[in-house]
Amino acid sequence: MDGGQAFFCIGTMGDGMTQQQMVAWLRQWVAQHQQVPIEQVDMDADLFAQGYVDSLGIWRMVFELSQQLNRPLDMDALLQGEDALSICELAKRIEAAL
Amino acid sequence: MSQVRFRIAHLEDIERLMAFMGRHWRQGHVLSRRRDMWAWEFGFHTLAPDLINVAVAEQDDALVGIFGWMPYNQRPIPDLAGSLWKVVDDVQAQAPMLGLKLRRYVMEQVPHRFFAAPGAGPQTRPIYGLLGMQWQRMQQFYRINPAMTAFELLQNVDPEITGQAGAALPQARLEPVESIDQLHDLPWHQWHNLWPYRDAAYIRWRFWDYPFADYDLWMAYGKDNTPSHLLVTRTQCVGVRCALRIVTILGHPEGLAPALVALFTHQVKGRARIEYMDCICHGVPASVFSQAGMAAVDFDQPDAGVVVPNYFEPFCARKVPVYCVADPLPEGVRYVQYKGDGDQDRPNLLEEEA
Repeated sequence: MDGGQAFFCIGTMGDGMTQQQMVAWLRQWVAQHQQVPIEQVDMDADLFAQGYVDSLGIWRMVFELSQQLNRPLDMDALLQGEDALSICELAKRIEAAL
Repeated sequence: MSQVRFRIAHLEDIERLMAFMGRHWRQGHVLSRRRDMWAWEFGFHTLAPDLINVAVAEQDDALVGIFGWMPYNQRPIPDLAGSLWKVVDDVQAQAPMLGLKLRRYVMEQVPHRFFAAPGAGPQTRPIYGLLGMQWQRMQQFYRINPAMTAFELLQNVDPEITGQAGAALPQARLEPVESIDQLHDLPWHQWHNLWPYRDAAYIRWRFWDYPFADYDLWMAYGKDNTPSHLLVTRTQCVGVRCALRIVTILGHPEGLAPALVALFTHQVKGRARIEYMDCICHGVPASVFSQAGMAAVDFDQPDAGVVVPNYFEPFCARKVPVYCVADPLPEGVRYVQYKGDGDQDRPNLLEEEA
């Protein structure tokens, strides 16, 4: 997936980070930890099924994002729901939680 | 994924718990081999006589997760340490929140005031961070026996710098505890703002009666000859060389330095086999230890400075920091944590049960 598709899930975030910036941050995080180019990180793919994070990695990713946002994030709220948890979906849920 | 149920474990679950530890934690782990250790470690101040302080997660009758705890006192609402937290890997992969739900089940089912524990794995930092808990790297303070010139446990020792008491201190009297009843003389009422709060029943269970390791208890007396602190030590050896390890202390950190000097003077200095004395803790100002001639291990530079071991079972000749985690504190309370409170001093190399 190319970088241009990041604009499918644009929204506005409060507190200094737009949803687009958050998606970019999450993609960058996955790219760094998977050691792949950011363009190869599919923001609509399920984070777990795609192997981008494991059960501990999701905590690490959200924890580091909460530090970046300087806001607490409730993992319970973020991981609820039946939809696959993609980068875009996670960014939406974070927006709803803030 | 079929439903996962939580419950508090019974004594008769121990066999299954042992099998779980061997299969999902580490083959040969002491808790996969010693039934009696389960009964002791998780048998203090339980919710009911036939229960142990372990919660289990079960799916289709299979054990898929465990979470253990250890009360610090026998109050109706005690402070708690965590011990063992594990969800089977493939189950956790399908349900990333399962471990947290199991922990939350314990926090809801077990009345408690404060949760604090040494030994949290570095990988759990994000979890505790998102839970709003405090996460700390504990400090390790040490003082080397000046009678030693060659070392087998310590590494990179500069013989010129073996530590000297940095301040003129009043002398403390130190006496071994010879009867558990002597603990009644301690000023327990002065320590209520030191969390977690440990009571005499806890000290008896965790150290005095502990069947798997030998601890020595020491009463320190202040200048007015009244008891001021309780120090608990364990001597750990590799071959003929040993370390005197302070595993816990009761009492206010302020005023502790003379007791540390007295312990060092009587139990380390000039002894032929003891290379050093150390203490791993959080919440005690470094100045207290420096007054007693003890220096801090520099964990930021793993290959520099004196290497003071922590792990003895098996022995590991390198610096290994210990981390601790705790609930947020109410105002007016201090969080003081020692390595020996919780499961960090549990013996690993015990023989099979007879």
